[in-house]
Parts: sequence; structure tokens; C-alpha cells
Amino acid sequence: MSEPLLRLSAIAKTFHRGGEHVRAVVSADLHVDPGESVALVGESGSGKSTVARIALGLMAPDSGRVFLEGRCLAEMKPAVLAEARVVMQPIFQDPGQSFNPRRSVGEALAQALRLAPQEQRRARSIDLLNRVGLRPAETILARYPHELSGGQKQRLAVARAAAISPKLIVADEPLSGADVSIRGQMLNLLSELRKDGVAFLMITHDISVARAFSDRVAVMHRGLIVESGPSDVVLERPEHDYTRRLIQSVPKLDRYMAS
Amino acid sequence: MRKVWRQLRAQPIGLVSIFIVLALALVGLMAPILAPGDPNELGQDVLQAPGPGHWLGTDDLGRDVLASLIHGIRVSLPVGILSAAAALLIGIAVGAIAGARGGWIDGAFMRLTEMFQVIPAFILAAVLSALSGPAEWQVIAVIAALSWPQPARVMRGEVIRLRQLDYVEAVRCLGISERRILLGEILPNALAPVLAVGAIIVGTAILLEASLAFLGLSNPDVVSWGRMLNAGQRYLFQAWWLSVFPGLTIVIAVLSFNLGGDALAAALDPTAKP
Amino acid sequence: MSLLIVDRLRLVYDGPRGSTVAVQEATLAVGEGEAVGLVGESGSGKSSLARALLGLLPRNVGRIAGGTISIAGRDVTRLSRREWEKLRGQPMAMVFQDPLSSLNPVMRIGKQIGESVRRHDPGADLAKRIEELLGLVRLPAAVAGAYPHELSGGMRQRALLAIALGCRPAMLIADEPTTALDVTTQAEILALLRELRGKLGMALLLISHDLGVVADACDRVVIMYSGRTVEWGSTADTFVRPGHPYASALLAAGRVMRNEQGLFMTIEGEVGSGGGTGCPFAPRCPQVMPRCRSDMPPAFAAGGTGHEARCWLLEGKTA
Repeated sequence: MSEPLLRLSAIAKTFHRGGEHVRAVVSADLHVDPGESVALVGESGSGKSTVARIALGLMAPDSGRVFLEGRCLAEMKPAVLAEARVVMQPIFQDPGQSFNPRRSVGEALAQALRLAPQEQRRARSIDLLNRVGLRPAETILARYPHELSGGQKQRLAVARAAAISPKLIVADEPLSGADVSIRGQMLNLLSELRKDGVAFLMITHDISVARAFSDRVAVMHRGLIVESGPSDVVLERPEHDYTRRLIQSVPKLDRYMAS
Repeated sequence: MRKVWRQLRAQPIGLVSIFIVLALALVGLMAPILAPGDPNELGQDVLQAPGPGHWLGTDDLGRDVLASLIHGIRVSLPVGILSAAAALLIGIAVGAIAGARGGWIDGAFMRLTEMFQVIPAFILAAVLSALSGPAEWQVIAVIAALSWPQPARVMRGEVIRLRQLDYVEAVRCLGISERRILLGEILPNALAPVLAVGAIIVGTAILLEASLAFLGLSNPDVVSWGRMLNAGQRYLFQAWWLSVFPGLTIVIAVLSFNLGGDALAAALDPTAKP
Repeated sequence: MSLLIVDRLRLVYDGPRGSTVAVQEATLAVGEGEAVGLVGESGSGKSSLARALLGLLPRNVGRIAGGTISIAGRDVTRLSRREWEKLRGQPMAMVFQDPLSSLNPVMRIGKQIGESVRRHDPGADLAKRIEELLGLVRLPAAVAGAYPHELSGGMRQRALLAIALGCRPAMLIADEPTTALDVTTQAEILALLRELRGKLGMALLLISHDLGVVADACDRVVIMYSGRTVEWGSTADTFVRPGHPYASALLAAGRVMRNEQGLFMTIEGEVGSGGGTGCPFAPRCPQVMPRCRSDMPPAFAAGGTGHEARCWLLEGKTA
């Protein structure tokens, strides 16, 4: 069996806030194979965002290890880590915070294209903007993040994540904040990337999105992954109590669908 | 650049303040040409009230007040600006390092700034000045030494706030080094509030220098606003112009730096609506 | 009897750079004991409408520029601030999305409930009423002594409900009451609302962007788009056979459905700024006709009883 792209092994993390200890992640094991789409589902306080940050190497776990393409992140020297981590890119929840307000769109993308030859960067930036539907691309290159709408910024976030041709994208609630009627736009964009072979680790609280977008799902509750497996199996025939309760809590639009 | 200008235009008070500061600087530069006479020239007309010939009056030695004020700019402004510049340089460096490194470096830094906050600045300045002597550069050094904790704390706070923002994390994931992140992503966005503090320090420095001069702790041969206040206090009721005009000038200068600094900091905000 | 009637309401915000129309034309009604859902996304105007219903439009900025609002038969469109103060709480009370900002952080829950009770029931036995209300919302009596920050999100929302109920309202207006809550907590609050309605016979106007919530809690639904009410009817009729293309698309997106090409169903583009004489959805409508861009359609029958939609596609069709 080939090595997974990303493997989290017995991750634990406790936060210390003003004397109190919050066990955000008690113990989590997770893996994403090349080209796979995995959803990490949970409610607030489940620890899912913490797992995302640890997976991205942005936060060190208290115990446990993160393996990217078989190599342990913690054991890498800063220079080695800098080179290795580019195969894994983030999309964050709040597009309003995702960009340096002093850098134009063009500068932000050029930064993401840092591994490409200088001459190619502008052309590739325009190509990226077109792919994510930000048109006219030439005009948008000169804009600043605060001049874009929330939806446009989130598309730009996808463009930036895709720029460096990553093998894995870790998306933390990429759809929240967007109206339901236009969520599909973002999902279609992300699906395009999947077609190109990019693997996904999507953090979400929304079960319907998890079911629609991922091959496998892991359900997280109070710092523990209580259940995981193929999406349709877990979400149709849940075994764990919490998973069952979670699924049942979702208000049923479908009760109105013709049976 | 154009946008900064437009932002400033939207803040009339700030804009006026900046003009006043620039005007003061210009007048100070051209003092030998502009001033009506040599401030050190002793004259016949002693304690003359403001009027034609001596627009702001004369002091007890016949020296023209307006000329003294104009020449005084050449002391107060440089002292203010240089002290602030030095305080900013030290403060930005220390604050950035403390904020970026965290850990014991940060802890040590915090204790140090708290120490400084506890010491009454003016008394320390007076003592140091009395000990070290009245030369300008010593005054600048004392003020800088007392003022750097303020911008340092602001800088540290900004660095801590900014380095965990999503956009910084995103750049980290691109494999860019921490040092480049600090310089390229964090510092530019941290500067605006620090600059505003810098402007306040200029005002404080001017006041501090004037206070030291007022107490007679600065070089008596140099014309400065504080000195004028010192000389004027003896004649407070007979020759009000000897105290009022220098006092007014100090107020205007300090206010202008403060308000101008605020306006500039606000104008430099990239997300402000044009 | 209709507790609330909104007839062709128009709401405008006046700013330094001109006026924005938040609601172009909204019509809805809530009868005694009824549960009506008001569904809308960004730019629909539903939140402004909710504010207007309790005279809570920001003064000097928001105003009613047309149409009427009637509460329990009384025209309240032009009420002054003082008259509104007397009116609020009975017959209508309101709960908001973010309980933490709606609750006084430095006052114990019991005291806040007490304030509400005292206002509308001056002679009542406070302690008894507070206990009663906490029981109604299924909060332990000990909560009366707690401060808002000591409670979880769900508990705070229950506390807000208790305060609202202290006024013995005939109707509750809930503006996105579960949006800030986890889905499991949301289910509990929705169950509570159902229970309260059953026990107290209270009417409900639930405002939400979440179709599922409305499907769960409401008998009837009104759908808003870009400042207009565009479809209304029973939830069953509307959700099974929507008349308006926006409603269809919204439902498909809510179910995260894919079309034949395997693409997720969505509406392209973003909500426009409204204005113009035609249907506001025309720029994004997959079934747009030339007529749609110039003429705003009137309401046509869409299938069920009381089910209508403002769409030219329905013209001439019988149920």
C-alpha cells in the first residue's frame, strides 16, 4: 500500500487560557491518500480547526506526529520544512482575513507563484484568475483585497492555493459565510481542482456538504474522532451515537421531497 | 500616494496640523533670513509690549520675542524629531523582536518596559540632565531613553496580533522564511499605529525639553522656548507677552504634531474608503 | 384574525451618499397561532423587514417609504418612538441571532427575565413567574442566578426566549435564532419552539436563510429576493413544487444536488443592487424571458392553496 500524502498520528493538543486547560484535541488519527477527498466533520469545540492547523504545520501538537509524504514535519529543519510544505496549501474560513491588505491581487499571486520563473508569473496569474472566474483578470490583478467582495476573495483564496500546484488542499470551512444559493459555485471550483488530482482535507460542520464532496469522512466530537469511513457508509449507517445524533439533528428538507 | 493625499484631504484638522508642522520647520530653517533681527542682540527697548517694530514685544534685555521664538524652532523641533526618531528606531526593533520571538525574550522585555513606566519620566530626565550636562544631544538621548518603551509596546502588540492572522499563516505555507514574513507581511501593517505614537513622542519631547529649559537645566546660551518661559516667569504680570507667546507656540507645535500624526496614520491605512 | 399584516412595504436607508432601498415591496401576513417562515439570503431585505416590524429601524437612517404594517388590526406604520415602546412585547416579542449581544452582560438572567415580566405584568409574583418561564424553556431554576457569559450558546438562546415569553406575546419574531448555534443545539431549540407554540398557542415569524430550519418549524413560508417577496405558500407546497426559479434553485442548492453534468446546482453571479422595473432575479435566472427584464410580474397561482409566486412563467397556468 502506498504511503498516504498526509498522515496524522495520535495528535493531541491542549490550550492553556488564563489558568484553564482546554483539551482541544485528545487524540486524533487521520490520513489522506493522494487524490482523495476527506471531510472532517464536527461542531464547534470539536477540535477540527485545531487539527487543520496542526496538519498544515502551523501549530505544533503536544504529542503525536504529522507525516507529509512520509516525512515527519517536526523533524525537519526550517529550511527543509519550507521546501517540503508547499505541496500542502490552505484555504481559510474568513476570506476577509486571508490576504495582506497592503498587497494587490497581482502581488499576492506572484508571491504564491514564487517557485515559477519570474517572466511567467503574470501570465500564470491571469490564467489562475480566469480559472476561478475572476474576470476581467487584467483589471483584478491591480485591485486590492478590500476592493473585492467576500465571494471574490474566497475565489482568490482558491486561486492562491492552486497557484503552486499543490498535491493537497486543507480547506477550513471554505463555504461558511457564503449564501446557500452560491455555495455550489465554490464547490464546483474545488471539484475542478479534484479533477486535476488534488487531494482535499475539508473541515466542515455541514454534513450534506461532506457527503457530497468527499470520499471519506471522519466525525469529530470533543477532541476525539468518534467514527470514520467512506462517506455514504458513515452518513447513512452511522455506528456511533454522536454521529447518529448529528445526522438526526439536521433539519430535514428532504421530508418534503416526493418519496 | 495619491490615495494617501485624498485621505488626508478628508481630515481637515489633520491636514492643517501637518501644514503647521511643515511651516514651522520651514521657518526654522530660514530663521537667519526671516527673523526680525538677532535674538541675542541686546536692545534699548526693554520690556516693550507688542507693537510695530517688535511684533511680539521684547524681554528684559531688549531681545525681540518674535526673533527668539523663530530661532527657538531650531532647538525645539530638532530635539523633538530626533528624540522621537531615536525612540522609534529602538522601540520598533525591540518590540518586533519581542513580539516575534516570544518566550523569555518577550518576558524580559515586558518587565523592562514596566520598569520604565513606573519611573516618573520628567524627574529622571531632570536628574540625568543635571548630571550629564545641558548639551542638546544629551537632552535628546535622555528623552529617547525614556520614550522608547511606548512605541516598543505598540509594535510588540501589533506583531503578536498580526503574526497569527490567516494571511500570515497562508504565506507561511508557501514556504517563505519567518524573517521575510516579519519584514514583508507584518512590519508594513504594524507601522501605522507606531507612527502615530511617534508623533506623540515628538510633542512630548518638545514639552520635556521646554520643561528642562524652564528649570534652567539646559544650555543658557541657546535660545529655546523653555528658556524664554524661564526668563518670562519673573515678569509674568508686567510683561505677559514673555510667557504667553512662547507658551502658545509650544501648545500649537505639540498639538500639530499629535493631530498631524493621527491623521497621517489614518491616511496610511490601505483599507480606508477612498 | 391576522396578528400581523405587511402590505406592499417599502423600506429605505438614507446615507450621506444617497438612499438605498432595502425593501422594494414586501407583503406577508401571520395569523393567530400560525408559524410563518421568512426566507432570504444576503440582500433580500429580510433583516430590515424584521426590524421594521418592531419599530427598530435605526432612527434618522431607516424609514418606511411606502406600504403599511398592521399589528392586531392597528396600523403601526407611522408610530412614534414612544408609542412603539408601549406596543413592544405585547402582542409581539422578538429574539435575535446573537444571544450574547442581546443579553445584558452584567445582569443575572433571573433579573433580566424579571424586568420583562414586570414591564407587562406589573402585579405578578416575580419569583414564581421566573421559575415558570425557566421551566417553559427547559432551563434549570439555578440559571436565574447566572450571568450570560456563564451559559452556553444554546442556554443563552433559551434564556432570551424566556425573556421574550415574559411579555406573554401573542406572536414571537425570531430573527435567525439558531444561526449561531451548532446543529445539535439548533435541533433542541427548534423542538423547544414547537413545544412552546403547542403549549401557548403562540404565533411565530421565523426569519432565516436556512431552508431546513424553516421546513422544520413553519407551516407557511414567504421567500424574499433582493428586497421583494417573490413566493409564498405552505411549506409543503412551496418546497415540493416551487413556482419561482429562485425558489427551485435555492432548494436544489440547499440539498447540495448535482445536475446532469455532475456540477453542483447553484445560482451564478451575485445578488444585484435591485432597482429597475423588471424582475430582480432576471440577470441570474436560468429561465429568463425578455419580458422579465422590463416588467415585474404580479402574483400568479402556483399550485397549492394560498400558494403564489411572482413569475411570468406561471402566467396562464392553472394549478
